[in-house]
Amino acid sequence: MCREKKAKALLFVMCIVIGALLVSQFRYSDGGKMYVSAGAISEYEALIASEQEATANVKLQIEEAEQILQSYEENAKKKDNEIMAEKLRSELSGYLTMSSAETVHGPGVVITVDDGDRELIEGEDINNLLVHDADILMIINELKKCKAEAISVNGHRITPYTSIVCSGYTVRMDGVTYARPFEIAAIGDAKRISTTLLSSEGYGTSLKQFGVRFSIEYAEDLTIAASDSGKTFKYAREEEAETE
Amino acid sequence: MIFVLILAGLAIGLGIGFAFNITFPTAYSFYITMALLAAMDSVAGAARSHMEGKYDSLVFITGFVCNAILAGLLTLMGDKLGIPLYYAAILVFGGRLFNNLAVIRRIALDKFLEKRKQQSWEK
Repeated sequence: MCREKKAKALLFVMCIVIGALLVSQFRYSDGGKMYVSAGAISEYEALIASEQEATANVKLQIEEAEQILQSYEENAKKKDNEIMAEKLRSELSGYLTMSSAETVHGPGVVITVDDGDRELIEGEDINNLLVHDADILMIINELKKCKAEAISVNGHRITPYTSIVCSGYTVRMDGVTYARPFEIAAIGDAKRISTTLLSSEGYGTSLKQFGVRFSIEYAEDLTIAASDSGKTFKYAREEEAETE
Repeated sequence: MIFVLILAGLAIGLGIGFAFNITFPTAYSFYITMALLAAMDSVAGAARSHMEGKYDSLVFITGFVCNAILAGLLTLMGDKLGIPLYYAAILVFGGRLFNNLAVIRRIALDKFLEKRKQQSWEK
């Protein structure tokens, strides 16, 4: 009799547990798919890892900025204006380099593009043999793709604001007219640039196929002059920083 | 009657579940489901063996523990191997639930018919 009671009690308790677990499971999954495959988990893990890396990067940036701020504050306390001025000057020169307002030098390539001189096939358009503004724009874009750090065309520094337009048999850049041949100088990874332009799908190869003269020369130390056209902003205004 | 006990237990359990917010880590959620299946199978098995007059609490409790452990291991192994091995546990427990219910139904039906026969005899 006692045994029977015990067994029944056990069954009773088990049923209570089943009921409680059932409800908690209902609440948890609510009919949604609950089984997550190992593949999905590893995908999410990769996603989380990359997010964590990005967060770490941001934290590093914050740390750097804080260090700079601290050095500023320390200098301000010392009232040593010379150190402060030196820091500001080096910062300024960095900004000038970035905005193409400073002459730079370094290894790179010199690309020469010129009109072709082969004989035209009967009825062929002469434009096939000429260098156009679009060709120069395409080459500059390829250079930027190859992370070239400074570019000039016939000595004219290419800035983010440079315009390149066709004007008859010449090309106008920022309102200045330049004629053939076009010498495009770029500071950057020379090997990367030449392989990109001269690959079977490269723009240099397709220009050559048309009959346009195209050549690349490596340069160990190239000097690219600063842009002489200053930039003034007429419409764009700095957005005011949000005050905390 | 054992069914009254089972239903009462379930009702109380459901009540507890609704009254208290029982939570557990997300990672174990699937294992809990497997344990739940094993428990439901064990209870159905207990009800059946009780009706057959062969119920033993030791068999009941060891059966439940073994089944739950095996189901958990299968799920874990399937997770590591990338094969849904837990299907085996679901199929077996689900199939046994139906089996046990069928046996219970037949025994109950037999008892019911016998009672009616006796009643008609008495008349």
